[in-house]
Amino acid sequence: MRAALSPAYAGGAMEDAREIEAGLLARAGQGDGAAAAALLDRLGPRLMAFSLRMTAGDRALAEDIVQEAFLRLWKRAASWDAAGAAQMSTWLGRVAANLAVDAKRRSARTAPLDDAGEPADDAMPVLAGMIRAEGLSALDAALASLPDRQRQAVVLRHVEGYSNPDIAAMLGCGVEAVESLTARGKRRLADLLRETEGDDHGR
Amino acid sequence: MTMADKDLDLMLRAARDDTTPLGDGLRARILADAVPAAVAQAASGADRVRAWIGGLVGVPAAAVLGLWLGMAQPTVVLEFVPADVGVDTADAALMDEIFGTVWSEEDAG
Repeated sequence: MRAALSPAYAGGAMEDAREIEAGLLARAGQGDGAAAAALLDRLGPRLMAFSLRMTAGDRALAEDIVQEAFLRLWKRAASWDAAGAAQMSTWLGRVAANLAVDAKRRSARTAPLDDAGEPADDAMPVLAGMIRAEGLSALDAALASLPDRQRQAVVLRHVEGYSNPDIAAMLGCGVEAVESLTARGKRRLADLLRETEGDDHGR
Repeated sequence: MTMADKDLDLMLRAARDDTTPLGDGLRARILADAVPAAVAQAASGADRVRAWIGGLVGVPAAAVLGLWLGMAQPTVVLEFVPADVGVDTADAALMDEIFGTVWSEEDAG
């Protein structure tokens, strides 16, 4: 099952998805639990993967984000515009992205030295440890080891396909800053994955 | 083989389709949220309808009552109007100073 979340998805199937999801949400808004469950099963797993990636694999935080995003969706059930600009999965993705950015911003304020700069040079062994300990894919482990804003910018741009101005609005910075964050993040990601590959081959 | 930019792009794009199953606990919590939200929606919808009906009935009713009071019971209205509603001398002088015209109680009606 593939549930569209990002603006990168387009096409005729989108209209069907819109109608189906709007119908399910309307029924959920009238107290139909089966419709709510169907909508959750349709959009939830994709949103969870996205939230986990945005939060560097912080499962508790990702779960809070997914729950809050769906709570906001349920509250909009009666006023949801099926023909409106936003596809439901895209709307949920935006809400989750904003919640993840806010949560990380708050945690950075309470722990200012957490990830203020570039990752340390010994990030690679840490990465290998994360892959083993957390069962993460090499890509997710490498993403998780990036500084918060770099990771968020790379995920939003290169995984989800948001435009730089959209990402700038979500991160609360300028478009130039987004360009810089994504470029540095991607470069660092390539280095980390290259090192992991080299490490695997060296064994 | 080392990681080329193209490989990284492909890897990132492929990650777009990833899904992570929701745990049973999270799924239950989210679905539990759906019911009160639906009830709140229904309640707020009913409240909105009641407010609309109140507005639709209340505004014309108030207008009709006001007209009836003014036409049928003028003494009741005049009872609450101060006897001296004209422009007194001090006000007239001030108006004259500002607007350069002669203001008197007769002009003001």
